[in-house]
Amino acid sequence: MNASLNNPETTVYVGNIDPKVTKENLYELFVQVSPIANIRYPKDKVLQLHQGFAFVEFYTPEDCQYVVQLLNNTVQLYDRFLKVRKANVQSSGSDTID
Amino acid sequence: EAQWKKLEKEKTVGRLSSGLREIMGISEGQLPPWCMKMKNLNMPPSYPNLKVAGLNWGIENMKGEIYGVLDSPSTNKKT
Repeated sequence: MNASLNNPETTVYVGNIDPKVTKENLYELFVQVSPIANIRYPKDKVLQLHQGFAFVEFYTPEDCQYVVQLLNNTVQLYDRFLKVRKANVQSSGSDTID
Repeated sequence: EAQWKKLEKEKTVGRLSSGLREIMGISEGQLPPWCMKMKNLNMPPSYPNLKVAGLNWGIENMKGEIYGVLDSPSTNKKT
């Protein structure tokens, strides 16, 4: 499953995530719109808190595009609107891989 | 990975658990906020046969955690 991680063409960046949101929550939400290949949801190593953003990888660029159109600024989790955009706008080299 | 397998098994399109609904601020019997946008954008590319209650499926199909279902491709093509 981890063979082809990190394809920016099929990955969205999700921001403005409340730290109480779990990876399970994100999976359940995004699977409503597209099958999911992988989710990276980094945690602060010291505080053990999620850092407010995630990368969700899908299987095709079409899925990715549709998810951005459908879910950006549409869903609130804990009263915060999720920001969803394509991940390849800037390189995502600095975040950790789990 | 075991956790991921569990997610894949448990969480499917068309069903939103009460836990996630609560976080999203919607109740059972209420359509998730993206469904209205599906009307304009068409159905998801990977779920072309998705049925959503109140959209292209009878509203009476909305039951508990269920708001939609994936139709088998043979029954129905797009829309």
